[in-house]
Amino acid sequence: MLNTKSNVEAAQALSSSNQSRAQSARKERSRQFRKAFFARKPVVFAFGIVVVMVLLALLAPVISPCSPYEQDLNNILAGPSPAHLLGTDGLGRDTLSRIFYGTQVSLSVGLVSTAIAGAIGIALGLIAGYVGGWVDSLIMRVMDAMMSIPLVIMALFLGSVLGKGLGNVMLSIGIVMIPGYARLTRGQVMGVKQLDFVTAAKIGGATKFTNTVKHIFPNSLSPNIVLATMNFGSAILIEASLSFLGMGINPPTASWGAMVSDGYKFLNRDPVLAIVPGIFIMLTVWAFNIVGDALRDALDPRLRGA
Amino acid sequence: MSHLLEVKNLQTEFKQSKGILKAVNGVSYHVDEGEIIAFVGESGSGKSVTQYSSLQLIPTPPGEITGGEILFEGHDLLKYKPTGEEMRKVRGGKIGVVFQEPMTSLNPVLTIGRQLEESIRLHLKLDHAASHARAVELLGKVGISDPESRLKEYPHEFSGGMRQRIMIAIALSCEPKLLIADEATTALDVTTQAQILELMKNIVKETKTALILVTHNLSIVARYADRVYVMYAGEIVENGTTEEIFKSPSHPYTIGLMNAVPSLTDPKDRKLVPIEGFVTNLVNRKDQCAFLNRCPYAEESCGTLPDPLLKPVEGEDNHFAACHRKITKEAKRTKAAVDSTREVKAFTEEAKKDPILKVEHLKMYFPVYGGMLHKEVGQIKAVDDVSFEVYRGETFGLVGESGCGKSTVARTVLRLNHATDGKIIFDGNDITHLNDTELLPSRRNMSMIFQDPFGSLDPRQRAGDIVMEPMKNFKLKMTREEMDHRVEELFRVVGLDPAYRDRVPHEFSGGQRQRLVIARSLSTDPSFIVCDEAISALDVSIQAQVINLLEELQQQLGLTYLFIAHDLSVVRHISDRVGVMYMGRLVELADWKSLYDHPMHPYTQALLDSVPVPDPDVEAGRETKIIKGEVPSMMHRPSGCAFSSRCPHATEACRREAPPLVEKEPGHRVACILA
Repeated sequence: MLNTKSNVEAAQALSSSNQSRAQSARKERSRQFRKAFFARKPVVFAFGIVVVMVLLALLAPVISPCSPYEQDLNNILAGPSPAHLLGTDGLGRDTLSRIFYGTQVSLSVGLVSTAIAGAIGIALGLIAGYVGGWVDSLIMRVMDAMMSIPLVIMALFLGSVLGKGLGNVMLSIGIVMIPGYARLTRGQVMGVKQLDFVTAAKIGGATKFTNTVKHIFPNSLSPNIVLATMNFGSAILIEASLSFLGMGINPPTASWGAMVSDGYKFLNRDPVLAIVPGIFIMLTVWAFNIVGDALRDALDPRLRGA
Repeated sequence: MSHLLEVKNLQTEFKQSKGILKAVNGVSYHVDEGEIIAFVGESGSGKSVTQYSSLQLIPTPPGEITGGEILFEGHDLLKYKPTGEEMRKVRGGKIGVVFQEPMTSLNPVLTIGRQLEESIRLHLKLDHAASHARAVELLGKVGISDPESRLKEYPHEFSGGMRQRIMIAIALSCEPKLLIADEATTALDVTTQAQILELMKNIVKETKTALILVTHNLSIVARYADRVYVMYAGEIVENGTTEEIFKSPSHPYTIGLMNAVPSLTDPKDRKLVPIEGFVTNLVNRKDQCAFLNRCPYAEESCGTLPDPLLKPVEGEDNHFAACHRKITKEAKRTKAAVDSTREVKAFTEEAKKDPILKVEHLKMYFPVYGGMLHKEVGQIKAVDDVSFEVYRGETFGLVGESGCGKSTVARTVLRLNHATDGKIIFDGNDITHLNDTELLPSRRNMSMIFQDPFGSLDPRQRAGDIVMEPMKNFKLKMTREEMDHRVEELFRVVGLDPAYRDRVPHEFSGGQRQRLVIARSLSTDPSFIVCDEAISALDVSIQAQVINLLEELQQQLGLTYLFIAHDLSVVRHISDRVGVMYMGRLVELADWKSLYDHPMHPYTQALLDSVPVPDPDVEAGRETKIIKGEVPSMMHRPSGCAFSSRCPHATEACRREAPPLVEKEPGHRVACILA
């Protein structure tokens, strides 16, 4: 019904040149995404580390040379040997096996607590930023109060209320990290909701809810991805501190953090005990940070090179 | 005779991941003492890069000046190190620069006196007292009253126009031989723009300084420049005296530019002729005419010949054009031409009986908070008692300088703000106090086109989803297939390829994005569209495309536009009736013809006087009456008529009482006691 000759012609002229490309648009998108994601060389390496760590966690029972709990009190603090590639700890347990099993605990603490913090924090930030008024004040004052207490002390307090155990450690670490996401998201939302496309959606009949979910949320997300990858590392480290202070994972369960704190006691006699799990923590945290950055860039259509 | 500045065959390249971008490709020009030359071209034409190259201000890497000579007073500037002592003496010493953005080029934490005196001391080696005296003198010279005390103020205490004056003062502080104004007035309002350009012109006359105006605005060129260089794709495609360029443009691009801009002297039925297509990608450019793909005069042979060089135009002394063919305004186009006239509908009395929008005594006040307790200390009366009506099928233009409240009117009419007082009657319904749900049926019938096409599109949404979203939101009871079909139809209507529906906004060019915004605004088949500065962020050739599209759509769909713009020529071109706003009030409202032909309000007259016309003949015969002063702050509105503080005819009576908007002639309403 509404057609202008010249415009139709213009459109047809445009279409002929690009038809084939548009047909496989979805394939093209995923190809572009992969290209943008792996654009920098360290990302390939970091992504490899992440894959290896996940495999270690999944396959720990299969690939571990020994049981992580079996004590050999006659052979404590032994150096590397063919039987124990990384030696044994203060109770004569195989360090390598404990590191493999520790991957399970450390990765799941990192992932689960970050997920808890991210989900709740981002939701609170969205509500505070978009609704505003007293809701905003209430949420943000609670967040400020939480932030005024040091992370580890807060986690210790929550841990003592909730009790020990892997699940509770994840939960308490998740809770202490909520305010970071809430603040960051709120700031983003305050900025994004001023933008013309949010106004445009409002004129186009979008309710507050659809506008928030469809436009404000996706456009407030990218700094959260960076924060999440940084928090992933902090979560592993907080778990280590909690374990060190005796409020973390129940012994004899192995976690990298607990191993560092155990090995720390023997730093002079057998530095491998503390250093190797430390290296695993470092590599994992680094790899997740790099992957997170790459993910943010690849998800942003403006940063993704055409 | 040697020139003040002579640039020969300048080449500047930028290294990019995909190859080498030749931003400046063999540009030669010269400027003499006391001369005003202009560089015209659209964004990306290399006009600014050329100037920065001559000052060795190109970021290296990725940029590099790979060839040419820049002779300034006989010395080749390229022999100097970019950061060396000699170059710094030239830059800011002998050549002063005024940039587009006056806020970012001044340091916000230093007083302007300090910034000005620093520059003087650095280049003229004067002591404190002498440099202070010189600063006072300079501020006076650029038209800032009470310079002694204003030197102690910070940049934010000045208005945009004042800051640009200060930038000029800094540029002039060392008595430069050459002043470069890079889009120096683009961000300013028309009346301020005219003041600043007039100021620079006077300085040139008095001090024999040369001036290079870099601009995209042909009208400014016609009014001020002696000679013109037209740039396209990093090359000068035409140069000559202003008169020659405007009288007998000889390059297709120059002709295209002139046909694309509306002017205050146009016949109303003139149709703008856009330049089709896009600038060719300059990365790894081929040795052929860069304008080839957009040229309406191109012949087959043009594609086989190498990049054309500037050749003298026959019968004229200093006029050169880089085209293989001999092109004149009357030349036959090889590509089908767009009609040069359009149908202008006569506005009948009948149409006036059916207003789609009635605004009655609309007031929109914003509270101002201050003090320790964050108390309300005042109000900004952004819109103060505005009444008008928009008839079905017409284009109602709303003009005024920035901050006059025209956008606030639009946003309030669309219920994005809650009006403080007054009534908004849309399509017979009073929508002033409806809540979001009650508003939905009316919202379906209105939409908006924004100034910044990129900002008004969600960067993460696909083009197709963007256009489809309103259909989903308003629950139009359409099946998925119907919606898909409608999206494709809308894409075609606005001249976009439906195959692009999976792209995200940044994969479109600026003009395409604005088309996408228009497609979205049409998706629920509304009858009323607000265009808030819808074309001001676009290049002139693209601007013409969008204006033509809006006009075509209006004819086919019977749309009504509320067209808000600061460009008076565009508003004259597109509008049936026009309202002029000043400081939150409508000061004049009439049909376009009586408003532009017999403006009655002194402010409207001042606005129209400030707008240059892209025709040197008209400009030469025109007496330039530049209005004095600046728009006062909204917080300190003058008593009585708000314009009384700047009005040349103001009397005591004007300052006592604000005049109401009354009908002085049939259909012509004015708010002035003297009219």
